[in-house]
Amino acid sequence: MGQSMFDLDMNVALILLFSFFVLALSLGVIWAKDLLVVILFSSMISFNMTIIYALLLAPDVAMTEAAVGACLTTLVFLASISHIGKGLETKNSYDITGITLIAIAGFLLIYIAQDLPSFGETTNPIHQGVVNYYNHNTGKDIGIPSIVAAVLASYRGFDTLGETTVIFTAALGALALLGKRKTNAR
Amino acid sequence: MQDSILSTITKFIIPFILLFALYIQFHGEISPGGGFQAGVIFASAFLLYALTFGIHKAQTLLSNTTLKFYMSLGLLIYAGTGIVTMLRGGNFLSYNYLYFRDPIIGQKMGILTIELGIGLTVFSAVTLLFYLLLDHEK
Repeated sequence: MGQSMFDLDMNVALILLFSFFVLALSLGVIWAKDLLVVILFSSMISFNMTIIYALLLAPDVAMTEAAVGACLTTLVFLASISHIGKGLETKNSYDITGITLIAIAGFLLIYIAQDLPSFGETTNPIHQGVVNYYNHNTGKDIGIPSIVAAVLASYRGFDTLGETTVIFTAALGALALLGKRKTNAR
Repeated sequence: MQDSILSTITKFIIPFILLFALYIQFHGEISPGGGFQAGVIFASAFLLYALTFGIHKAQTLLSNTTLKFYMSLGLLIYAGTGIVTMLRGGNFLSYNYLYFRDPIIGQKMGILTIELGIGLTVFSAVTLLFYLLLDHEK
């Protein structure tokens, strides 16, 4: 029991530590003067989020965040700044209206967050619904060990078909926009 | 600007990335991961190749037309699995009908097939996106 309590506390402490890193890197993104630095900071935010997801025992999400957030998104941005240049025009003026609006929105978010159910409780609404069915019947219905894969591919197969169609459509959109520009340039 | 360290490391590491992607793809029902993650990792190996050796060398390996074909084929495999289950008397994407004697085996067959479709579509879509972004920079 004592061992498991220690593990839990260690986990929460690590999550808080990496959340602090994410916060610090976000401030770095705001204050950076160079687009390349901004991209590297946002990539590092993704890496920290990967660790947080892994600590929260969500390896599927962590893997996706590492591959898409840290690797592919960074590459998209790097490919983009090879076109537009990495200079960044910075204004050192502060917009009072904008800062006030952001402060109000941030205060509201923190205020509303007080009403959220406490973190990790088994009595939370999110653990009451269909998840119990998946937990108890995946072995019987699907016969595979990974509940995530069973939900994604079988129970919610229609949703995943929609997601795959979204990716297909996104690539078609990129093809329609960028593919045409390429033929024009030649 | 061909860096010998970069090209050597790239040549060395690409087979491992591809192998890891295949592991994620076909081991997805036991361990974390699945078609989407596998597709992205598989694509990242090609992107590494394209960034190191130039986009045109990568395109001779895997052209835009091939990628468009694979992209459509993946989605077709996914939707086609649904059509097959319908033809065999079930609902759309109810894999139990893929193998009448044992619904569990039917489920496993269905999941393996659609994960393959997802992997193909995601891999080709991502790689095509980067080909398009990198191609017209000259």
